[in-house]
Amino acid sequence: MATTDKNTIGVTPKAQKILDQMSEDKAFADQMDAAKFAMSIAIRRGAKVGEVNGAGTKWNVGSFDPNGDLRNLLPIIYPDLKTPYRGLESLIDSGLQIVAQDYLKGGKFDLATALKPAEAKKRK
Amino acid sequence: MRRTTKQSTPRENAPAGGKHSDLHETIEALRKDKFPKLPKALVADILRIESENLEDRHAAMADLNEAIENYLSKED
Amino acid sequence: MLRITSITLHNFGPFKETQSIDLSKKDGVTMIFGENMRGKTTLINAVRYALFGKVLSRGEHEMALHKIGNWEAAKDGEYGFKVILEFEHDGQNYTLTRECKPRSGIEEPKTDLDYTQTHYLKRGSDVLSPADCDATLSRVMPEQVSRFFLFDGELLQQYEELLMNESEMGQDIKEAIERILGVPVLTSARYDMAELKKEAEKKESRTAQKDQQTRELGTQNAAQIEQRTAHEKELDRLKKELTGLKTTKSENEEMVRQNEKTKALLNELENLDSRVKDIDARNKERRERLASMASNAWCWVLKPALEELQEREQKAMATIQSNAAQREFSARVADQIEQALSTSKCQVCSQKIDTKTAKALRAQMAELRAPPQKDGEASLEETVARLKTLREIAGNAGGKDAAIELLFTIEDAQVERTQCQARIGEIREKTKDLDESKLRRIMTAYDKTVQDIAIVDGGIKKEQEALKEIGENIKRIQAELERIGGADLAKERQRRQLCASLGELFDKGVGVYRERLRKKVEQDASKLFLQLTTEPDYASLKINENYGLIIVHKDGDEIQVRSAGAEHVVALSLMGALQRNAPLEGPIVMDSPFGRLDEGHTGRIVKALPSMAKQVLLLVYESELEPQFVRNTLKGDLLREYKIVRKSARHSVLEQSKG
Repeated sequence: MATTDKNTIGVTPKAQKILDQMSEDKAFADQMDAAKFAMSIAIRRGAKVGEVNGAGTKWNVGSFDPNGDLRNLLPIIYPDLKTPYRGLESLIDSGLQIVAQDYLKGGKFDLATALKPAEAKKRK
Repeated sequence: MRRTTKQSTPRENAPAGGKHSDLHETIEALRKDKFPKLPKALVADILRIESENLEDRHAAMADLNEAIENYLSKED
Repeated sequence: MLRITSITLHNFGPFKETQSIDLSKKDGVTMIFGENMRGKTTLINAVRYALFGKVLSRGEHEMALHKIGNWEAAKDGEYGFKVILEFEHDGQNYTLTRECKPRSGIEEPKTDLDYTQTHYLKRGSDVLSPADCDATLSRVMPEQVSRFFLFDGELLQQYEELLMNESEMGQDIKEAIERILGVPVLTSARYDMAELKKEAEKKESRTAQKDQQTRELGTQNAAQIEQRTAHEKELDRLKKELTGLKTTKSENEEMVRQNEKTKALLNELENLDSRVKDIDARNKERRERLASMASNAWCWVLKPALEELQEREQKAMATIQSNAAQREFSARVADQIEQALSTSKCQVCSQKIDTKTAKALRAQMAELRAPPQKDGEASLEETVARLKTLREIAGNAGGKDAAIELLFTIEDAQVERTQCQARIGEIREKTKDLDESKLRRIMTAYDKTVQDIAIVDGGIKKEQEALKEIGENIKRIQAELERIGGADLAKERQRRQLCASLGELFDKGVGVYRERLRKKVEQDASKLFLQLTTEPDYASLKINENYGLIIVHKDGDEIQVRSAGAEHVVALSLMGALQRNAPLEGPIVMDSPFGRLDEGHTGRIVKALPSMAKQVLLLVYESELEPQFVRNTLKGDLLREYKIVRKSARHSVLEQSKG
């Protein structure tokens, strides 16, 4: 892994499409929130951090993580992680792929299921 | 146009059989009870004229006038 | 009584060339069997045609005459048709001939206009004049009452209209019933006496005007009579107008009812559209709220992990703190040992420390002072910092339940929206051909009709009041004339009073006779009904004002709903009762009346036929009524039997089977 962290992070074109579908229903105020959500899904699923090839430069880390919460949090979860924002980018990518596989039904993002799978299943 | 057969064959112009007497009986009973001064024969005559001329109102009125006139002249 | 003695047809319907049915002069039943489309209905139509010059098709529509002639004969160039009806009435023999033939010069007639119709009536050997012919026919069998003598199952079904007060057909049938029962004799008499009374009043006025003593009164009387005539005319006009308006209203009521239904649908549509808009607005607001809450959604997802991490860090912090305390203690002990070694004396018990002990203490001190192994151990500051981060993020993890609740609310609202949309779709489909402006026009027209009815009603009341006043004036004048008038006037007065009394007699008579008739018809129809019905729980029939008959159960309840079959049985009971009570008697000619009836009812009706009328002509098909069954049931009352035999699709032949 590269030793210097990123100042801007982004998503691959494929991941961008997933982000766009998540945003259609306007469940999130903006795509940053959707990306953070995807990241949290990846972490919940135990995804490993890696490198993402082809991610663009969508967000400045200062806007994405204004308080540094993510910069501080990710090394706690991943003690070997020296470059939190690279890790963040990778987790976002992994998370979006999980969302596409499990939480996009007929092109619609199922937030309820993503949030609380047990409850959502009970309701159905 | 007045019918010409009336005088020659009165029988055929009479109403059919016994059932028509129901009507006559009803009116006669009513006449006796409520209008005893009305002449029985005239009432019967009027009923006969009406039953024979239901479709010919002009003939009916002419015959009725005649019947009443005849009665009134007899009364004089 | 009218009794048909023979029917002769020439090229009428499927009956090619000349064919006849001879009917017995005795009382009883003649059966004519024929499969469908062989000519049974044509036979009943032949009687209808002979008497009234009309042929009816299904639904009582008049058939075009040019379609009646035999097709095979037409192919051979022979157009037109004829029916000869021989009958007895009041001891006289009649022959009625009615013919329809192409107009002179027309070789291939195509429409009714290409034909000419003629008819004439012979009494014995004398041909009656056209006027006498028509007068006799209308007396023998008025068209208005023919439905009680010539009918089929379809016509029988119409009698249920008598149960509906506002039905136009019901009113027509009621008038026909009263006609056949003789009520018009009285209603005409009542009317005629009223007219004669008016004439007598006018004559009385004119006579009064001739005498100087009574001139003034005579003139006043004449003026009042003239006014009365004008008001009566106006009243008549208003009543006719009212009838017309009521007919329009009841015709439009169906449309208005549909309109009300449509209006209700449109209202529902409006409400649904509004509901959908409301749902959309609320869900938009909910989604906005959710989106704002969802900026913490990543924290909600990580909350369990954060809690675990917090626990871990807290344990780590506890370990660090414990280790630090341990190290501090060790340092203090090492210091004390050092001090003891420096003085060679225990600081606690003041005992001298020997060499051996000193060596051990030095070793212990070295151990205690050994640098701590901090590899892999995080610093307290780091742990505290991590805990702080975790706690801060966890602090944002609240609101998840509220967000989920909001999500469910949005979902539920979406489901409701989908249901509304589905219903909207249904209503739009139902109303897609709707012309709203037309509906509005109908409603406006209906409302106007209702208003007009009220206005005309008001007008009628006014006229009636005016007539009442005029009536009182005339009475007053007549009383005065009686007091002062002479012999001439007395005569006119006598005429007037006679006509007035006669009018009152017939007026009362109408009500009394109607009531008597209704009771008798009810009684006779009930008796016949109980013979015809197979239901043992039925007790009688009850008659209404329109001669509609209601079945009464033995427990006294009225049977409100009845089947088509029951309708037929009731209608036949009415027919039989009318035959018994009408001054006008004639044959019953029935075309396949058993279609809706089961075997039980059919059998009973066949058995009762001879009691329904003196002459019965029954046209049926064999699967409707088995010939042997008829013979066994009717026995001597079955006078003749005919069969309509097929020669070709357009040619049937009448063959006598028994007689």
